[in-house]
Amino acid sequence: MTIRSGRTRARGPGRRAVAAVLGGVLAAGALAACSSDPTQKSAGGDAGVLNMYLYQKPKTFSPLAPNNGPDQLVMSFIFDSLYGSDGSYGLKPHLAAAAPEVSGDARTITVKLKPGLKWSDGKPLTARDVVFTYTALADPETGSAQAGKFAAVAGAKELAGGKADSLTGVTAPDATTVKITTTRPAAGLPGLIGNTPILPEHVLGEVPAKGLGDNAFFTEPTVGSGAFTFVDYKTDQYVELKANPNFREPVSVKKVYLKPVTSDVATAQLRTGEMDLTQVSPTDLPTVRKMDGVKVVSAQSPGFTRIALNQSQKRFKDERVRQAFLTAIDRKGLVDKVLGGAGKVVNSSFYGELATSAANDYAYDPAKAKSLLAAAGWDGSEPVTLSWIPGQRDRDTAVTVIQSQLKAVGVNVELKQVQADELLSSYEKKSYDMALFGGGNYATEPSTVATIDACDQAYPAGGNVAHFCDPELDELLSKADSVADAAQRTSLFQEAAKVENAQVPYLWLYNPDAVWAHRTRLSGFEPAGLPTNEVGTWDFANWKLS
Amino acid sequence: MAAYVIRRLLVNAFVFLLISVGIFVLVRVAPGDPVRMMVDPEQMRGGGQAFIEAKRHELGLDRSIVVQYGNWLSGALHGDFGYSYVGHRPVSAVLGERVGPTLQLMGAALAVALVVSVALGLAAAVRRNTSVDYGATVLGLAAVSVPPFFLGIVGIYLFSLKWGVLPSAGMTTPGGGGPADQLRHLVLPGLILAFVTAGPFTRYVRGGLVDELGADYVRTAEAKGASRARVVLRHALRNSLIPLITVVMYQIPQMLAGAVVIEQVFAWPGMGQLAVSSIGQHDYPVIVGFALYVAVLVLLCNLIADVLYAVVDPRVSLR
Repeated sequence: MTIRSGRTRARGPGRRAVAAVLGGVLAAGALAACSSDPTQKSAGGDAGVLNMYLYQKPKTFSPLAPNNGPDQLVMSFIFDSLYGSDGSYGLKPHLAAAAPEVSGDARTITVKLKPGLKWSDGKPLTARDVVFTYTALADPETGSAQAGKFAAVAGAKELAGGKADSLTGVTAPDATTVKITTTRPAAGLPGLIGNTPILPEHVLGEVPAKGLGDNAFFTEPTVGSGAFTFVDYKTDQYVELKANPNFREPVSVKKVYLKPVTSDVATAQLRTGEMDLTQVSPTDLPTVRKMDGVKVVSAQSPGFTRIALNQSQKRFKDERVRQAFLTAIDRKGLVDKVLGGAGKVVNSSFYGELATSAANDYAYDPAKAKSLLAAAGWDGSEPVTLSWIPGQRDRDTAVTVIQSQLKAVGVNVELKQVQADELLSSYEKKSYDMALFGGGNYATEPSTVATIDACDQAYPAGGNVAHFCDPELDELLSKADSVADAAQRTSLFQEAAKVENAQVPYLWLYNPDAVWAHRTRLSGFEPAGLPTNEVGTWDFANWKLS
Repeated sequence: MAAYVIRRLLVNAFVFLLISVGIFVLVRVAPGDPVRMMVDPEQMRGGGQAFIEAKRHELGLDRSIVVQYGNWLSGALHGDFGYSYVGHRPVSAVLGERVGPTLQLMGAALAVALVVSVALGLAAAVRRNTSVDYGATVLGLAAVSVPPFFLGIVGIYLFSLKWGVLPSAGMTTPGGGGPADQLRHLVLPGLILAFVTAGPFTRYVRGGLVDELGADYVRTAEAKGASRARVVLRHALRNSLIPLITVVMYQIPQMLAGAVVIEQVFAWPGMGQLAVSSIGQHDYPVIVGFALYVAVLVLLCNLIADVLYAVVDPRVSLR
């Protein structure tokens, strides 16, 4: 551009235009100021409408997709499964009429459905829907990330290999009976697949298997069998659900809005009444406890915060080193100080009564830790890196405490903040030293502990990111999967817990409680230890809004 | 003029192509694997490995970057910018539904910022070196230096928690509300973004007006007996606002950066929120789509600024 000299004759916006803009803005401001109806009245507080916190944005509403917490939370509202779980993670019949019948050789499992089940559109829900769903899940062609769970089912290999287009091991002898046959004893199968959401065959049955997972139904699953029916997902704003009149039990909450906001916003909205039910981080507890008209409830979580020690390194192979690390950390102090007491110290990956046999409690004892390290010939000059994904306040605090407590016994810890994918790739390359992470649920089906402990499950084959290996433990876990008798299974798992407790494959730090807070107008809400409700613990029929 | 615009558009198209190559390569060489991130290690036993391989093949991530770019470009030329890895919807749809909320937020903020900055700048220039001037300068400086996320949190604390007069987050009350409801949701994020934007504008208006008031034609007009108000408003202010057009046009892409932060704080369902979440999830197609959208915005705003300048100032000719 060039500038010519000369007189300027601006023909800019005249005074009238400016006045109009100014007037418009002022009018808008006045309008905003005049509508002084308090937030409480317009948002929430409506009879029968529940506003609930969703801790992240959902991606898709598909049981075929890789597990993702917020997706599973939404799906637990709109889909039903054969089984859910009770407070202590035992199977609880949902669509099923009773507990599964497992044959003596643990190779045949029969499940009876409740009579008269219906989809939200009024069509009957039968055993054929279960067969359809399990076939879709076991077939990687559909884009299923869950096929491995069905490995023991007869015909799964042929289906996955493209040699068959049905799953011969899952059949429906009649409308209310599902029969599953397996190629090896698999007593744990109901606990592994029982809580999978069942899909409507009359909606998806005609869709070709290839690419089924990308079907538009999973963006707007308007037909379901859960307590609520999907209405709409206003992107980034809220998921809208309405009560399903055909649910197997009457539900009194009429509408649910699940809102993905930050936890700070959720806590603020709980106070203003824009939110009725939210998860609370332990660090926010003191604030929330002081709120009027808000009740705080919590449940023990089955998932634990833990540190993996990379046992592909020689220095971490000696169990005395791992025991020493565990003894050097004041875990009870962490629970009391970092979680404000809202958590529990554990000494095994097993949950509840199975873990009672875990003999050693690894109480905080720096002197003992030092002598264990000395006996193992620990070289204190070599630094140890502790990696973790920052952002959760309890973990961010815990790492610094752990760093100083390990330093006190002669372990030179360097902290390293990483991103999720960085951590995953360091598992695969075996390039990390120590990694702090959390989650998991081995309570619903204890044999899933193999996922993180078994020799053949070293990441990326499975979830054994510590590259731990103990054939004796593997043996016990597979034996437990091959007996049908519940008491016998329990005693085998208890034995496995004992071995695991002595070996310390991971440094178990604590199980943080799942803490919930809700406005007192909501009653009948029983908190679940798994905040994502992925195993269907919540009893929606009991929820009442005043 | 027309020839100039066409020539500029052609150059912009070429620049746009270069930018697309740059962004495409940068996004893909950044550490991180979008497909691996989809699967929790605990799920690997449940067929995670097979899923990862199949998904990588389906998304074409197992091909060379040159082939990937070629595929993307041929799609883009037909208006197909690929599918989001998350939720598997077309990128154009994913971006499209978030343009509206962001434009609403930015448009409202820009209108308020312009009115406030012209008024403040005018007052500061006319009452130079008085408390009014210093006050405007301090305000402008505060707007430039206080981070918007902090203002957002303070705003939520005061207006929602303490006084309960405005909603704390979101664009509407779930289930919709009327225009009044939407406006109440817009007030806080809109005003904060306006405040942040008004800072630099105010300084420009004041500076421009101070220069104009010292010009010869102002003295001439006053000598001919024109009132002070007439001189300032009809002559000096008009002329001083011309450079502001350029500033506003250059500021629009900057505003988008401010909007990203505000949208995060207020859970506003716009482009900013989308950008942050797709970067976190390594959603390549959406990141590339968003970056190119911003690139187009910058190129277009620059072009519009130049053309408008020529329209309002006859001394400027475009060649």
